[in-house]
Amino acid sequence: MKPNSVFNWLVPLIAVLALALAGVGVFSQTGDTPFEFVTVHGKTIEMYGNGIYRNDSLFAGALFRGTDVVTLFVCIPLLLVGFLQYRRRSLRGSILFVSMLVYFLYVGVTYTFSVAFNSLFLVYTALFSASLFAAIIALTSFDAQDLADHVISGMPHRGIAIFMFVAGLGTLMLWLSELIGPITTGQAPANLGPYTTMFTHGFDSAVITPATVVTGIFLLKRKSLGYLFAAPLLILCTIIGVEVIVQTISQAMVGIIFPVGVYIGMIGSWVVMGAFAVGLAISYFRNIKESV
Amino acid sequence: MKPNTISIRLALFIIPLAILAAGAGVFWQGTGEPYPFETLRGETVMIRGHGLYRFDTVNSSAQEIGNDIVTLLIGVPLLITGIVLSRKGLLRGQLLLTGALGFFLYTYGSMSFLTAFNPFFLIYVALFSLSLFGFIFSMKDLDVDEISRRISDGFPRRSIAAYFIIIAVFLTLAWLGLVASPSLTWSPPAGLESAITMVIQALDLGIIVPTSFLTAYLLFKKQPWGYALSSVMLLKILTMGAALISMITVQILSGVDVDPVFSTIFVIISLSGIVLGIITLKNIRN
Repeated sequence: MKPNSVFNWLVPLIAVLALALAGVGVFSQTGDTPFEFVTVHGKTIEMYGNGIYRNDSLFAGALFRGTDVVTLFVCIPLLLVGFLQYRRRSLRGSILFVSMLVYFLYVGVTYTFSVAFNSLFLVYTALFSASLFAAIIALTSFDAQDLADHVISGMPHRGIAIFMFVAGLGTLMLWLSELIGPITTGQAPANLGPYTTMFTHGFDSAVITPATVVTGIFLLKRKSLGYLFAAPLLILCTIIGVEVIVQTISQAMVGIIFPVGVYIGMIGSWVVMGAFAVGLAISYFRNIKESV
Repeated sequence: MKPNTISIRLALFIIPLAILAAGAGVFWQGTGEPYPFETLRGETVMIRGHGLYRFDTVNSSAQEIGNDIVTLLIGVPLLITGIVLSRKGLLRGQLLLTGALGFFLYTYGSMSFLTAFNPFFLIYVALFSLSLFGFIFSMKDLDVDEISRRISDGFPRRSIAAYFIIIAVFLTLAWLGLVASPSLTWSPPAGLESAITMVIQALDLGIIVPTSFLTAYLLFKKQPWGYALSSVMLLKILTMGAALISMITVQILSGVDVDPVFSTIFVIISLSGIVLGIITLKNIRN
């Protein structure tokens, strides 16, 4: 990956913005308590009522806080490690670096468009913007052919490709199953809460699923871009697997307890996906040589 | 120049879906009366109560319908023209196609995330996805060096660069004016209506403003990407400008109070964007 001085200020900017986003998210307290809100669909929703996420639902507020813990203690350090390794011209480090920029783009987009407007709106927008441009610059300046030349024979092409198809299409099926009913009946989806629309469902279906399918096809065809796109998606799935665990704990702490079936079925499947992603990510990095 | 087949194929799917989605917005009016609703922030807004946008406010639905009209009358024809000319291998066609895809990307990105959930949600998401990937492939295939070679001497490089700076500064001031003080006081930002957050402001501040500054900088430096980005951005501004004028018109017709100063500035910016967009296309030799 060609060195680019623009990262010398973009990366610290992203780190500081992410630190503000997650730090305030985890630690802000206003001492207020949950309150009830009647939505435009006539449903009564319990709202978080506390800290920066006071105008989010109890469900989403606790979820964002869980995400923030992982962003703060895992993802920001990983971004900085990746950046330092990139500056040392390490190929694997550069892959980690690009992947973390994509992760922060995902976080930036999600918080900008799905968190109820709050005092950090401009921080979310700035993080979204900085990580979008950083990810574009990093991905377009990465020499995918050079990366492909460093791949050794043990690379689990088929394994990663199958994972991409299962994770991408599985997520699509899951989200569609929650949307088809409300669309045919004209009702609000069960998990809409106080929100305008179903952000995560829309974004994952529009962006993540096509990206995983394209990556899977590229890998099967041994196209060099497949290697470049595989890493950010594997790392994103890994982090999401960890986040789902922390989010579930965070939700339990505010009294959101699910039936056992949900823990095993829904949450369990995200964690299993994350576990497969970890295994494949390790295998991916092991099969990339630093020097040809 | 090689026509970019993937983006053309994706664009071919956009045409029927966009006609369906925008057509439904304009023509599916249904029955029902607007009714008051107390938002999360304790403001009372009027919900439209009928048609496709029944769960949006009277104000936001007027903007959505205004945008739908432009999608039908300008967006779709522009995209079709882009596809046809692009297939003939014309550079202008590729730029038209890319610009039109940019318009659809912005439009259906905001429709996906700002329109109250309705039965067309998945169609908005499909349009967002198709235009995003179409736009990426189209940008990737743009031959920027060829664009800079084919720009004729009459291209008003400095004026266009200055225009982008004006756009960026205006959008920054206008949107920071809306969101900065509510960020500090927790009061609801003007224009939030019944939505959860300020989607347009985030898209403009996060993408349009930095891209405008970047385009202006690259144009001043006579960099090839400056010409490519300015063509694409002007086409997007041209269509967005028409959409804004249409939105303001529908808002006024729906009895929504429209800020005269704000609207006038938007109309002036839009009209000058339309003029500069046409001048740019005319200054590209085939």
